[in-house]
Amino acid sequence: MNPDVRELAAEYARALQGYLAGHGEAALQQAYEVGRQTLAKGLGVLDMATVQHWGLLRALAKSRTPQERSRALRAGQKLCVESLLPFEMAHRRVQEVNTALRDSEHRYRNLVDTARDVIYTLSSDGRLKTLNPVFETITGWSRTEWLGKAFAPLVYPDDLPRAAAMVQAVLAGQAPPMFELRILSRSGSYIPGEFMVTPQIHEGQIVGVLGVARDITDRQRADEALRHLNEALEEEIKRIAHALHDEAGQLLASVHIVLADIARELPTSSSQRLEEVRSLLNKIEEQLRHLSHELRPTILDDLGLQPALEFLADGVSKRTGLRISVAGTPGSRLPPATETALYRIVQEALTNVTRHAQAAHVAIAFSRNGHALCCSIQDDGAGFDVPTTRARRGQRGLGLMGIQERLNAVGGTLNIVSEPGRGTELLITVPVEATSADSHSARR
Amino acid sequence: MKGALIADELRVSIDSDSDIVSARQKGRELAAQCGFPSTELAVVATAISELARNIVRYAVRGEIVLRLIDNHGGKRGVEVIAADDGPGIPDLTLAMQDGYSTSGSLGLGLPGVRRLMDEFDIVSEFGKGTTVTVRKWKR
Ligand SMILES: Nc1ncnc2c1ncn2[C@@H]1O[C@H](COP(=O)(O)OP(=O)(O)OP(=O)(O)O)[C@@H](O)[C@H]1O
Ligand SMILES: Nc1ncnc2c1ncn2[C@@H]1O[C@H](COP(=O)(O)OP(=O)(O)OP(=O)(O)O)[C@@H](O)[C@H]1O
Ligand SMILES: [Mg+2]
Ligand SMILES: [Mg+2]
Repeated sequence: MNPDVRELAAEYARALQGYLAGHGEAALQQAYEVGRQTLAKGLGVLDMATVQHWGLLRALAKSRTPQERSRALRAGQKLCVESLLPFEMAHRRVQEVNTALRDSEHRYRNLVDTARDVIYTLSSDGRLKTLNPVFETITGWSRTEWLGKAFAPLVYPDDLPRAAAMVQAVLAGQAPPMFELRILSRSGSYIPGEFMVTPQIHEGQIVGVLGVARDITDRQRADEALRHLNEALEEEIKRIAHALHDEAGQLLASVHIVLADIARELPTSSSQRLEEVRSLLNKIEEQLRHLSHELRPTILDDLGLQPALEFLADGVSKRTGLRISVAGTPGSRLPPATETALYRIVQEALTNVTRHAQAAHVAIAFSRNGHALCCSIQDDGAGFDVPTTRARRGQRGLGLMGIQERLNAVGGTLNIVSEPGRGTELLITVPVEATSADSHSARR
Repeated sequence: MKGALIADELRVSIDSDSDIVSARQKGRELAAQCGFPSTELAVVATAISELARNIVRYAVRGEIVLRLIDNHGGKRGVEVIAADDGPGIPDLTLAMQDGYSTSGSLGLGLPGVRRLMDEFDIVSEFGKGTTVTVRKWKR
């Protein structure tokens, strides 16, 4: 017998003898302490049973009459309960932990089962281990058709290399950024999905991939609708710019001709005054031309973003007295949608500076960073509290929202760095290699 | 003395290990008056044991008050208050955690008592003392 158990059994036997000798509560307490020590030594309930059994055998061996024996048995039962109580405390702890675990598992299950995003796990060899119910709703497949199978056939063939790279990255312990994949539905069409994947860890080892996928069909539709709307707006602006430039320009030209006629018929003294009118008209014509070019600069189409922005900056500078510098270069020509978006964004940013910032200087700077074009628009004006202002979006002020939406449509991002009294910087990045045409060709 | 009604509130001052035994005994007798089954009596005795033990070990001396209670709805039970003017417990959340002990012991006492009893309340002010109140209702 384990020497610890032997020692505990001897102590327990003494407690039992003590109880039979009338020590009462002190003997019960002693039995309780034996239970505590048994637990403290890391022994289990079965060891406790051995201890009790031994102690009882000793007491029975010393009993001479049947009455003594039945007293010993009753005492044994009382002490048995006492010495088990420390184990009861430990047992209730385990029960509590288990209940908490079950509850948390239940909540997790609930979350997964009712989630509107697809939640799935992959084994390290790329097989689908789990899929939540919404997978069926979105794709039309039954889960049993895919569980245990490789995920690859679910992915649009062109997207497969990216999917495989992401799985490899996760298995190597990285946390890749969000990415998009097109997923085969039961009807044969492809559904655009946005994916977030993280390692699934079991006992410190990466055993697979935990992924969350969102159906972004609606978002892509909305983005597309917005793109159309912006295109329509551009057309309208073009029309107004032409009207300003051509029709108003024509009218002014006719006025010049009429004035020349009148000048011939008037005495020289009055024609001096007419000369003044003519020079004012020239100024108006110049302003109209400039405005129409800013509205829809043909330079943007003909020469590209940088000259167009310099032209814009020049015009704003002349009108408002702001000093505006343009540094760096956007590089080679970008897709028209991106160029237009950037032009409109800088235009709105400059409008905001003139209206809200009371700044002296604005610096516009471009830089290329791999597949990203970064553009910073920084003023030295009043600044503003960004979270508060963005929280009341929609109530008034469409400018910043418009900037954000234009960027969404071309896959770009906006970061506003501003604080009251510290000036404002808009940091914009747009992806410059992917043409916007191939990112929304899904669900054919 | 079996069957004789004892007062429905008892105070036992706790100063040594032998006081633990008498607190247990008085608690058991008081609880027996509500008709608790014997295993439940052992549970009450255990709670008293653990609270009194903490008093002896950490606060040196203190008092245990035992009381019969009812909830005005016919339910009866027993209340145990263990109070001391000892050093108090600086972080109760920690002290209530399983396995936490400042004396290298099992850290079983306080969380164990909480689970054995139906109600558990602990108030402690660092430097001023500790009061633990627990209740067990007869089912
Ligand atoms: N450069 C800036 N300096 C200081 N405050 C700014 C600047 N840009 C924006 N803001 C603040 O952010 C708010 C929101 O700007 P936003 O362009 O969205 O709306 P708006 O300019 O007020 O109205 P809208 O652009 O629709 O005519 C502004 O009202 C202003 O308080
Ligand atoms: N009356 C008290 N006064 C001061 N500190 C106390 C008191 N009771 C408990 N504590 C503190 O709370 C801790 C946890 O108490 P608990 O009874 O759970 O465990 P323990 O006494 O350390 O170990 P065990 O009860 O298993 O022997 C103790 O280590 C002690 O620091
Ligand atoms: Mg604005
Ligand atoms: Mg203790």
